[in-house]
Amino acid sequence: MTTNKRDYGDLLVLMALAGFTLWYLMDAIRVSSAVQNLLLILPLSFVVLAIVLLEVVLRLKDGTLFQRQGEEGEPLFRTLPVVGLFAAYVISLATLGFDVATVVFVALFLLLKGERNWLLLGGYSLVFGFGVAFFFAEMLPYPMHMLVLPD
Amino acid sequence: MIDLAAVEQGLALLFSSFAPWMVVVPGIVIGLIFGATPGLQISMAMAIFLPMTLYMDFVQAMLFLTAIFTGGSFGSGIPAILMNIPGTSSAIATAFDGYPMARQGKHNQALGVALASSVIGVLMGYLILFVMIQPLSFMVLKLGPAEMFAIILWGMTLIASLRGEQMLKGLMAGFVGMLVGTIGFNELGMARGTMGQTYLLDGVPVIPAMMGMFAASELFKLANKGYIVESEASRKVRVGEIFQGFKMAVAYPWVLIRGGLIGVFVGAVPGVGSSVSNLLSYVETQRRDEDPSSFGKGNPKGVVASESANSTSEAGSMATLLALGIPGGGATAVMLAAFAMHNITGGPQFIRQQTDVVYAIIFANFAQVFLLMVIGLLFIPLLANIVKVPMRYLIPSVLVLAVMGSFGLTGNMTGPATVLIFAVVGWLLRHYGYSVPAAVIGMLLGAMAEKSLLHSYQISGGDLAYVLERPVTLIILALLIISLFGQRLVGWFRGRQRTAGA
Repeated sequence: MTTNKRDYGDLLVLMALAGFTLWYLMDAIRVSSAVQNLLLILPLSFVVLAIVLLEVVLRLKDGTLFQRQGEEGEPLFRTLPVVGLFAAYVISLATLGFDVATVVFVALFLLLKGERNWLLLGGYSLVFGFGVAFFFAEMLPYPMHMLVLPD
Repeated sequence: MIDLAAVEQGLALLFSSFAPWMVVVPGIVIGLIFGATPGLQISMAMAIFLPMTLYMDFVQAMLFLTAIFTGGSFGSGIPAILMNIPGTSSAIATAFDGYPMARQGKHNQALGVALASSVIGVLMGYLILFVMIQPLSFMVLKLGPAEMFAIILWGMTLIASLRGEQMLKGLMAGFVGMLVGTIGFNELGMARGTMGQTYLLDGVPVIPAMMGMFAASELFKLANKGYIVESEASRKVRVGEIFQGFKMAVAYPWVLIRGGLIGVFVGAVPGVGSSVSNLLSYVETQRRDEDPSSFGKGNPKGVVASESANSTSEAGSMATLLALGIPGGGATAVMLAAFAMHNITGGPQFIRQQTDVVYAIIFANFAQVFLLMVIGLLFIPLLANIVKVPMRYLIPSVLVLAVMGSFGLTGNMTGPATVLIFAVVGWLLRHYGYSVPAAVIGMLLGAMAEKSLLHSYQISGGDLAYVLERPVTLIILALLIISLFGQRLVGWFRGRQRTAGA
């Protein structure tokens, strides 16, 4: 779907893909310029860069370079709080432990998405958070960092 | 081709006592639970329960492990349909149409289609294995690294070009995914793209990355929705509709047969297996369909194609294991460990000397199929209730499962960190119209492609003429070109014909 609003996101993603490809190619060459090391990486990187260039040229020709082409959906900023909360959860695992971090994440998510039944909010986050952390801690062969439950 | 005396002995091994059957039902249930829980792999289940097989005789041990395999191959399709999280890489293509079906309120039918296709797939796979185990093992030996590389490249191009009008973005996502898949040590011990981080030396953990790209990024998109299925009337779990799904699967016999054949032959190729077969079968079904644009929007044929192929792959990988002693993937690698624990070496010798045991394993799998159908039918109504859960409860719960599961796969914080990073990448790619499946499959196949290409280079000494001496490679490369440019060429010719006629 295309919108009429000027959107630089698409161009930025294209540049990011090209940037990653260039950086990775340079890094691979730095490690070793032997044919065996670059056998796949070199031709594949050239193909990616050529496709990026072709896409930019075709979109410039169409006049659609600054229009978003993607699934119809909500603007990115509306989803940002959820993404931020998830990032905070993953980062906090090392300090809060899998048990407490999970309880806090589930509770905050429910709060963010409009759950106002405090009993349900607290009950679910506690039961689910501790339950799932306990299940995985029992099933997995290595220790999981916990704050309240045994490791 | 079939040794009748060994068939008789094989049946005697199975039916002389009830003991071998005692482990089948627990095996299927374990497989279903592990397959249906995102992050818990079938191979993980088999590895966890492997020590138990020490107390079993060899046939019983193989029955137990193949039951876990069978249960898991269907189980992994359940979260793919209900949550868009393929339980394992063998169910990636199941999510393409299974999840849109669930979102349309057809979750019961989708699960029924998946179960029927799995059941028929396993049955078909073991039937083919029964008849063809010896010729099949011979054929697998004929496939060299050049053919493997051509198959991988063909598969990759097919998936990437699925996007139709946004083919360039599909190819870009797929090829960048392949580059990401080569991060870390290569076969020669050179570490690329690790940024000095030791946890990247073994490469990007692909399954946590897959969880982030597929599941978490999709969940971000749905964060402001009420339910998976918006209409309240559509959220009911109806056993009748599950049976409708059974009928839907049987209504496409050619899709089932094609998926089955692709599953057996691709599943028999070591290292490729069900991760690729489900995708190839899906793409072939879409390519041959009268309405290819309906795929990815809830076409049951997509689920049939994927599930029939990943289920028959089990028989294919068993063929390689039994006939060559080479594991095709994680699950058969655990089985190989079970072989070693019982002082048995797989390979042509094993097939010749213990044909009765091989047939016993195959016959037991015929019976497992019917048990899977019954147990699966009991499980589905329980699991299908997930569509009744509000998204505000479902999203954090699934995200937590993905994070814990990824920790389970890596044993350290690399797993959860990978889920987070690739969730954000997948969310952005999805938003700007890139093919997330192509990127994920690229990551899965990148290292495999590099290894095959390197082996071909070493065998040929860098002489390109080597490819010209490999007819199978040439055929696959021709198919690749046709799948990339075929439709355009046909359109161009038709256009010329019309112009000439006018």
